[in-house]
Amino acid sequence: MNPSELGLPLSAAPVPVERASLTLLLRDAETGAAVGFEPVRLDDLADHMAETWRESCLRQHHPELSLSELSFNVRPLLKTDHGPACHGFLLEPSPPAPTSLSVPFTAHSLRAVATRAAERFIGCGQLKRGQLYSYEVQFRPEPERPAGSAPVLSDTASPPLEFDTCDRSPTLNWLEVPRRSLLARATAFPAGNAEAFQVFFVSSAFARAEHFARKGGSTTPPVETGAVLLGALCSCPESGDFFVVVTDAHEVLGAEQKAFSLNYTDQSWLRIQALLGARQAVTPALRLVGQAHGHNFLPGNGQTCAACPALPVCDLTNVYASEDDQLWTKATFAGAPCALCFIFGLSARGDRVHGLFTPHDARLRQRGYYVLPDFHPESWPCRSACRTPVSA
Amino acid sequence: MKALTPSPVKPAALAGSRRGMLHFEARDVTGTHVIEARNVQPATPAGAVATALASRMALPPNVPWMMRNDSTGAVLEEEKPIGDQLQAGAKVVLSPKAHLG
Repeated sequence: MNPSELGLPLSAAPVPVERASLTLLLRDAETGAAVGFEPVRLDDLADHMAETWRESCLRQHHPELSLSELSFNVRPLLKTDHGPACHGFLLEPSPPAPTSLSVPFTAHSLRAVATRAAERFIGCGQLKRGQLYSYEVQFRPEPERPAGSAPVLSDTASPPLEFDTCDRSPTLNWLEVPRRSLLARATAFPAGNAEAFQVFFVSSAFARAEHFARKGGSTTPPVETGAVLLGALCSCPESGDFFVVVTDAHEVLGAEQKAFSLNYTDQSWLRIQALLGARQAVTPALRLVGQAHGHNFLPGNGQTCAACPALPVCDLTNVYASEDDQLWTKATFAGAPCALCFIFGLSARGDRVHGLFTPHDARLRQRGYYVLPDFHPESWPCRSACRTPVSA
Repeated sequence: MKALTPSPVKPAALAGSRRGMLHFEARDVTGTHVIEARNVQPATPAGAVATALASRMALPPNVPWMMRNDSTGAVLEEEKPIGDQLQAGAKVVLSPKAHLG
């Protein structure tokens, strides 16, 4: 039986990510009429590649492999064997990488591309602002590529500046820590994707993160405040899995704090980098692993439903990763092995609620975490990969 | 990533800067990406250089970037020539102009 008859996605032959030939088709959500095509550019897949690196290398006994050393293949997951429509696609490191674990991505992972396309179509009058649209991922190798969707192999937005560069990015440092030694002492707070890489918070770091994130809730009017999260990347010598331990949280000072936004200024970054440098001089494995911030406003203006007094839990909360949080995380942690986004928020009736989000399917999604009573990075062996600078 | 560094390798050029051209080191805020830039035209506006550096570091193109001189803490003015704002051998940090929400 044909796999398509079983409802299973058909995996097309792998193609290099530089020639992924993925295109989005935007349609009017009401009529289904085609609005136009938008090519998926190589830089649209940067987060996908970083996630594939994490899942197929860092979490599979190979923390020594750097992202810049890898090449990737794309396998479109076709809906049928006679059309270009895809459920999504798989991304996998290509040989000679010692691992070829495929990581699946859905059409949702390309939402930013659809948003860009919609803006373009609004600009040229093919779509009205506010008009609902849907999009479909299509695999269109060269011969059947539709007009107006020529492949874009690199970032065409870059100005054609001519200068030479040499990649001097530092190698990844990690601690070798048997994970079970931590799990035996940890308290689990499960949520969302159980397969996500594990994140441990030292209890004092968690308390500091919450304190700084909720600090803005005591001002009038409440504003967003937050902390950066410092921690160590760890590799388990037994399972080969990779995980993160958050060891400290530091208040973001000098930031522009508003009711619905938190903007790190250059002064904020100056302080963070000075702090990080000082900490890394003592413990090289420490790095910036994420941030926490407070959504210190009442969702729905604090309007609760009639049944609220009888409900044990109010499920109208503001614990979600906003579009701004998504964009900030993509920009700040591009190509980083992990990016934690911890949000401390409120329910409509003022209960304190919180959630951890990390990139999965190339977007921030809620997941669980563990809390540890303590963790001493200097007690564990620190490893580092060897790397040769790459010129371009 | 290999895939995101399309420019041809120019080992000879990297051996040293051409006369009158600028060289400096740039990194992103997390220190994940560090690149050495050589033979940058000093007359190029700093904003254009920041955009090009972000592209070479495979940072998102849909975010504007600002450059800060790491030793002085000064934020480079986008429209002014980079050569008027940086000394050769300087270190700069690229920060996204984005905010949490």
